[in-house]
Amino acid sequence: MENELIARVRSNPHSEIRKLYDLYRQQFFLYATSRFALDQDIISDIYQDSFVALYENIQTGRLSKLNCSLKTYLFKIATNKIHTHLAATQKYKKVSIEENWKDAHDQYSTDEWKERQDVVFKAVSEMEHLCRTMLSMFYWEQRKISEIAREMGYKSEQVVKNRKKICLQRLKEKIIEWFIKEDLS
Amino acid sequence: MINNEHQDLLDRYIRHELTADEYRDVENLMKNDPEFVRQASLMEHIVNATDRVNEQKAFAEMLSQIPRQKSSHRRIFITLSVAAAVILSLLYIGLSPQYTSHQLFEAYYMPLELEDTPSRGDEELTSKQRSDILGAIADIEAGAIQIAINKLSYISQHDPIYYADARWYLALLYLRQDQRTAARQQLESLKTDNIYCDQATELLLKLNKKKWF
Repeated sequence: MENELIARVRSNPHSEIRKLYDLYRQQFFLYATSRFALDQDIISDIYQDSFVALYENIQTGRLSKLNCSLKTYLFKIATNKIHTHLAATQKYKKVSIEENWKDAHDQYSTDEWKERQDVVFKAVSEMEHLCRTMLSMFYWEQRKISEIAREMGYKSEQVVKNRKKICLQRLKEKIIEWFIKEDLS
Repeated sequence: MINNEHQDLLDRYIRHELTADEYRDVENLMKNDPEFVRQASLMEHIVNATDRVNEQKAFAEMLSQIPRQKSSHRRIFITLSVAAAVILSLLYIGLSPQYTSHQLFEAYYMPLELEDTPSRGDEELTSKQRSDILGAIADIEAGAIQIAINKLSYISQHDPIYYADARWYLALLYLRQDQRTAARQQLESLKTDNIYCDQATELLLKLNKKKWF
C-alpha cells in the first residue's frame, strides 16, 4: 500500500523530490535485483519504506547536512532493510561485492574521507557546464549513451564516449592536483 | 592511470550493468589491484559528488517542506495564549475592586443608635417604628441577616421616618453578602436629601473604585 507521503510526492509532477524518487527507484531496482534474490514487490516496498525514512530524517532534523549523497544514504537504508528481510526469510545474497567496495573507501578515516569528498564536490561543482551535464546524465541519471547523444545534439555515440572520457580525465586530474595540494593523496 | 577496460568496468558497476562474471572480475581486481582500488575510490567520490550537486534542488525542497509551519503556528499560538493570559490576569487584577464587599461592610457598619428623644426632625416617632428598626438591627447583631433584610426592606418601603436608616443598613447587609449591585441600588437612593447622603456617596465611590494595576 502506498504511503501517504509517497502519494503526496508522486502527485506533484513538477516536484524535484518526485524526480529523485522516480530516478532512484529505477536505479534501486537494478541494484537490488542484480545483488539480491528478492521479489519485485519486496524491492518496491523496501524502496518506498526507505525513501519515507530518508524524508522523515530530513523533516525531523536528524539529517540536516549531507556528507554523502542522498542516494548513498537512501541505498544504505534500503540495503540494511534488505539484509534484515533476508535474515528474517533465510534468503541469500547473490554477490558480495559491497564488502570489497566498502574496503575501497575504508582505507581512509571518516574525517579524511569527508575532506576528500569536499574537494571532489568543489571540483564537480566548478566543472565546465557541458562536462558537468554530460557526467550528470551518465552517472546521476544513468541515461544511455544514445539518449545523451540525442539530447545534447552530438552526431554519434562515439562522440559522447570520447567527450565523456576527456571530461572525466580532466576532472580526475584536477582532483588529484587538489588532493596533493591539500595533502590528501 | 586507469585503462579504458577498467574504467568501463567501473562505469558499468556504478550503473548496475555488470553480469555475474563481471562482478567476480571486479571483486578480484578490488582484492588484487591497488591501482584499481584507488580508481574505484576516486570514482566513488566523483559519483557521490555528482549526485550531491544534482540533488541540491530536491534536498532544498525537502528541507522547505519541514513542518515548521505547524511548529511555528503552535509556537505563535502558545505565545499568544501566554500573552492573552497575562493581559487578562492584569486586567482581572487591575479592574478588580479596590475594596472587597466585606472590607466595606466592616468599615461602615455600626449598630444604629437612636436619639433619646422620640422625634426625628418634625416627625414624631412611634414606639412601634422604633421597635421595628431596632429589632432589625438586633437581628443583624444576632447574625439573622436574612430576617434583618426582610424587616429592613419593609421599613424602607413603608416607614416615612426610618426608611433612610433601613436603606443604609440594607446596603451594608447586601455588601456583607457580597451583593454589590443590590448594595449600589440602595446607596444610589440615599445620595440626596437624607442623613446618610454623605456616607452613601463616599461608600458608592469606594464601592466603584478599581485597583487599576
